[in-house]
Amino acid sequence: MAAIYLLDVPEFQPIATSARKQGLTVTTLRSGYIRLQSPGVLELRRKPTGVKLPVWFGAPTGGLEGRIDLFDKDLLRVVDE
Amino acid sequence: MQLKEGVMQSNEGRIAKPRLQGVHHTARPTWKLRETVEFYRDRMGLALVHAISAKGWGPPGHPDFLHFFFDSGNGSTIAFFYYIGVEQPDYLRHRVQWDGDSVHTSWGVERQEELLEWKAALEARGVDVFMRVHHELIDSIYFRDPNGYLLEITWQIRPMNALDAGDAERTLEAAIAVESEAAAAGTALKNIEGIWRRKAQLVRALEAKE
Repeated sequence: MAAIYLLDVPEFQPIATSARKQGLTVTTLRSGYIRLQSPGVLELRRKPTGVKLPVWFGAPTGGLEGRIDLFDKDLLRVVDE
Repeated sequence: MQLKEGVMQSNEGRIAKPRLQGVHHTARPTWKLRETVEFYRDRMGLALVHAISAKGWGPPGHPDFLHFFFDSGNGSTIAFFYYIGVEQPDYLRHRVQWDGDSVHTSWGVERQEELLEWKAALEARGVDVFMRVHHELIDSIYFRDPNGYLLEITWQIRPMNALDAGDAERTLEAAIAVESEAAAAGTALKNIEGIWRRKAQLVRALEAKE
C-alpha cells in the first residue's frame, strides 16, 4: 500500500477533494489527518488540486508510506516498498 | 477531542511562566550607514526612535560604535550596529541565496489589504518587491534593504490551532528520532522521506489510541 497523510487544515483540503476525484482512497482520520492511499502505486497530479507549489511540496508532511518515486511540480508518485 | 486537548496542555505546560511579550528588537551590523537610515526611515517610513553612540567598551578591542533603532510597530524595533573604523569581514557579507536569506526579518500586518498597501507603497518609493509567496499559513511579500538583508511582510491567513501544534510536535519528534538514529549509525539524513515515514508511524499510533 502506498499512502500519504495530509494535515486536516484548510490549506490541504483541496488536495484531499481532488485526490478523491483522481481515484485515490481518501479517509478522514479522527487524529486530525487525512490519508490518501492506493494499492501499489499512488499518483497524484497537482494541477487539478489547484494548490500552489509551497503547499504542494509540503503536502506529505503528515506522513508517508512507501517510497517517493517522483515528486515534481506536476506529479507525486509513491510506490509500495 | 481528547487528543487535541492533550496537545494544547503539553504546549501550555511548557510556556506558562515566565512569559515573553513579543520581540523588543533584533539587531544586525551594517557597513552602509547613510543608506540604511535612508531606507528604513525615509523609504519604509519607520521612525528612528533611539540611538546609542558609545566609546568602545566591554571586550578588549571592541570598537566605538553606533547602535540605532527603528520602530516596527506594536512595541517592536529593528536595530543596527555601525562599528567605527572596522572593515566588513567576509563572513558578515550577506549571501543572497537560501542559506544566507534564512536569516531574515518578517513583520506582520493584520489584513491582506494592508499587505497589498505595503507592496504598492514600497514600489512607489523605488523598492523592488521581487517576490510574493502564498505559503501554507501566510501570504508574504519580499524585498531587500541596502545591506542585502532579506525583509518580509506577512499576513497570517488563519490562527494557528491545536492541530498545527500537535502536528509540529510530531514532525520534530520524527525528525529528531530519525536524525539521532542516523548519527548513531555514523550517517546523516539525506532527504525528508525518512522523517515522513516515521511521521506516518506516529500518526498510525495516535489513531490506534483514539
